[in-house]
Amino acid sequence: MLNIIKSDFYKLKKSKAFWVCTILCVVFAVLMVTALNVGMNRALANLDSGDPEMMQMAEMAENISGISALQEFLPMGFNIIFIGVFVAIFVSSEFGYGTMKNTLSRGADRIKVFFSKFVVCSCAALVMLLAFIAAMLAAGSIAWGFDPTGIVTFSGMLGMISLQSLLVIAYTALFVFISMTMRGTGGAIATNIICVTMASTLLGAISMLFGGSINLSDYWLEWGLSKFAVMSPPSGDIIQGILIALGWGIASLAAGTTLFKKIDVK
Amino acid sequence: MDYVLQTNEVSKAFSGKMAVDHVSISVKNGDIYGFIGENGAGKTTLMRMVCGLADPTGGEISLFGSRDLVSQRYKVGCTIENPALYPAMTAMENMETQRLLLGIRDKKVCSELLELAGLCNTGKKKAKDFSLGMKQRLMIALSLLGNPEFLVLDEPTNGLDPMGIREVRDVIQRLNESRGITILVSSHILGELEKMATRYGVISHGKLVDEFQANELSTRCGKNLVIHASDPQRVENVVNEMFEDAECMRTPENSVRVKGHVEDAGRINKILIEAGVIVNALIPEGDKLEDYFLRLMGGKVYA
Repeated sequence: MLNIIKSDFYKLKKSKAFWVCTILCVVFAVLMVTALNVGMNRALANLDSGDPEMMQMAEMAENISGISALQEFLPMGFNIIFIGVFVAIFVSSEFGYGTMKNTLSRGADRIKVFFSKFVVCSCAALVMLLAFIAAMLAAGSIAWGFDPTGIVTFSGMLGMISLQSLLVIAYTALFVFISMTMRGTGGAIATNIICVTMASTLLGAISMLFGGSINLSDYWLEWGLSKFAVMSPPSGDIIQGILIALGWGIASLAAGTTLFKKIDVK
Repeated sequence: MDYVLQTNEVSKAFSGKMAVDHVSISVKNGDIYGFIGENGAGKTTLMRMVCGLADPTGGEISLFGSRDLVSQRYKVGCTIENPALYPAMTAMENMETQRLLLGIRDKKVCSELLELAGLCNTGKKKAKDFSLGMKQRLMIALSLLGNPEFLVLDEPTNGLDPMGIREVRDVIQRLNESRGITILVSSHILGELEKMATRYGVISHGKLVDEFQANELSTRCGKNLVIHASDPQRVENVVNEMFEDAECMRTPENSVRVKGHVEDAGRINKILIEAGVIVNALIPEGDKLEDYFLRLMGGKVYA
């Protein structure tokens, strides 16, 4: 197992997709902060116009900081999209290039191969998450200061990052499962993006079809992204979020390994 | 240990259609086993099952006398179908991924194998910029990591020019002779297989139709004696008198082709001379592997 992981980490180091997606996470974070800053300055300059959107922006500008920008943008899941794209390229290309054959033909256990991909992709996903958070905090702090209102505590920050990391790892498990099952880069990228951008809406629509007594989107990973983007979320939300992340993560790994054991590799 | 690979009634069905149908082959230690079959005959499918890339729907495979295939596969190197390489990596980086996977500590082994494959001077050139021959040789170098005792090579000369074919053939023969590696190799270029294989298996429509040693090829292939002489009609008469089972036919060059009796060439020559026939040449003529294969497949050798 350790040898498979070492080999996968070497491939990660050499993977252009990883470095490009990580840089894009950073660029996207900085761009969003810059765009928000420009929008707020424009709103402050046009306070007399009476435009409700401008008024709202101007109101927001009074309390904005690096940390509040992070709390605003994390639930949108832009970094998760980049993680989904990276995992699709990194995992599916093994089938596209045929290099998975080189691994399996030397007697590597298929479950270990799957878990190795999951471990390495999770590490990459965490690097991308941390890069996104660091870039957003740095850009936000330069623009508005890190935390002028003093809401940040070390434990609160650590808790927020840990819970977001848990969700990112659960998303990664799902992305690895999709990519290993689809084995085509294009299809895997499309499906992973749909999982991030449309799954919540789809689950909401399905809930409506069945009467709306249970909202299925409350059991989807995206639910946790917004609930965990605060310093100290309610304990009920923490438990529900952890259960959702574990549930999706374990289900993805179980389904992925079961399917991967059965497929013929070409 | 006598056999490196044995398959016992191995089958593989895709959507109910048998791609490999109860195939039993035996690859002995030290063999270069030439695996022959038309497109879609089931060669690659059987090789994929041997390498653990597909599960058989029936039958058994044993490697090195063991049915615990996972534990034995570290002794097997393989290249199945197209060269499987990371295109954005150099030859050395491709070797590194496999070295780490196999847990080989000695880093020098990569450069040694690249040298063996004639790829030690590729430097920073990416695999995507390699010629097909270079890719095939890099695949062989990759499959040699971990000192495998058995190599499975699926059409390693596919798409190569004559020079590339010769390079790959030389590498295969060198590995067999100097390192004692047993090799299972499939190829469409039967003339190439004939130059290196020590044992053959012929598969058609998923079924093994023949399996034989290289020295048995001559007995399987028809051997004839072609007699170029001054009086062909007289030659036919003399030969018919000499042998009850003689089958003579005239060639387009007006020579006489005698079926079999290659070993009687000296005696035929003596009697023809005594009969006053001027013999210009007595040429033994035999089917090549390709002819034998075509005959097995139901094709015609002589038009």
